[in-house]
Amino acid sequence: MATTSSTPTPFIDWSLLGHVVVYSVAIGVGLVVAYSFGLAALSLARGTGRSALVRVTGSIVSVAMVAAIAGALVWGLVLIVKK
Amino acid sequence: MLLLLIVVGVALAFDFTNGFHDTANAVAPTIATGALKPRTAVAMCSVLNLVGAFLSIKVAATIASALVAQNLVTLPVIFAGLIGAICWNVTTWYFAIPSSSSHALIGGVIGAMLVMAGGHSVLWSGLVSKVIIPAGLAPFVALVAAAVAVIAARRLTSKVDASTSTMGFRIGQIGSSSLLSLAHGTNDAQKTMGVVTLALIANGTLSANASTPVWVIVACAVAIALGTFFGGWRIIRTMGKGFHQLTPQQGFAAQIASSAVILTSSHMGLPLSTTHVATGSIVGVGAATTNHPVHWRLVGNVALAWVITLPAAGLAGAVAYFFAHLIGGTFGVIVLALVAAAYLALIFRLSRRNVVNSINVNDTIGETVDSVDAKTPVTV
Repeated sequence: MATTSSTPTPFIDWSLLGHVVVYSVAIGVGLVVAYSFGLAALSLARGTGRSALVRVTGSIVSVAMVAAIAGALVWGLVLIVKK
Repeated sequence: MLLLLIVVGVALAFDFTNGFHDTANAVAPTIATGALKPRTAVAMCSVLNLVGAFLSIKVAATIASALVAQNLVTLPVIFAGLIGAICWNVTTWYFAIPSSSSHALIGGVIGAMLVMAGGHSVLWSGLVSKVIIPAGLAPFVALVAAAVAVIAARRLTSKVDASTSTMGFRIGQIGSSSLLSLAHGTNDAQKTMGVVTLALIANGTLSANASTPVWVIVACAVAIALGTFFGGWRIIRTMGKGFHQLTPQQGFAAQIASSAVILTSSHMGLPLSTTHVATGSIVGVGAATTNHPVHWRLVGNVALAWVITLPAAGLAGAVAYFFAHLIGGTFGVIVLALVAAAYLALIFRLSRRNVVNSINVNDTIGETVDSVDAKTPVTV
């Protein structure tokens, strides 16, 4: 039985397109969710009548979200530049 | 040598039209929601397009090698394709239609190739898998991503007071607009880089499958940044005010979703239309929220323009090649360049009758703009 050493290139690379779809939606939604979560946490921290614990937690969460978004963007850009 | 210089010059002119035609993709939501003043937004977008153009050349490689048979490409073919794309870009700009500059370019070159060498000169597999299928998918992916993102954002910030939410998302929009501008430069400037590389290969200046020279990257980056700086105000108004009234939250979600789609596809080497993506996102955030209805009739008209862009630019490229070839040689190319320049001058003159600029860009479509001084600087 004959075997081939390499697979033929598909007419349409559905795998590549699938990756674009999945990564695009995941990254797009993820970044917006992270920013919104940070904004909600900031609002909680700045609200009147909150306890010190809530204020500190809210501030930390909002800063963490901004840092996470910045990190994700830098990582993404580094990936693009390296390729 | 003269022919090569003309082709490179026309390619950079296309890159310029690409810049001003597509400024809207990155800044329309930012301007529409008041997150940035129009001139500031456009200037920022211009600088980031310049930077973005240097980040990657994977799309340029796709344009140069995966769509047409490199060994059959000639300089008049590239010239005719570029002329077709420029004419289509400027015509759609006049009618304020956010059509795809990328498809105009690809369509123009393929139309000219078909007339010159027939169907076997086009790499149909590459065209279908790297242009047509992504073109159909991209706006829907962007639409879904933006819709899900804005629903999530609305739920997460439902207890945030309105002023904090508005201010927070406006600040976020400055970042998202910057990212989208960078993404646009990364994806779109490369298309012209690919075409200029193809021209250099066709002329024998570069060997087949050669990488894009640095001077080509720099020239294309500067051309698209300059075009962006002039701001395609007509299309900015369509995208910012035409589909629906954007809120800062919607604008932020739309721009982040667009950036994600464009940067991911650039990373994978897919030359998709940034216009389709940006429009899909804006429509997506409108469809997912009920505060302002989406003008579906305009969406339909724009979608129709998308469908006909590739064949229309192809036809323009084919006609341009036919006449350039009929006249013959460098003289034919020069004659055609002059005819195209006359057409562009006519369109620009017609556009002066209804000026859209940084002052009236946020007027709702349909409002009179006759009161705006037609001599106001920067009117594209």
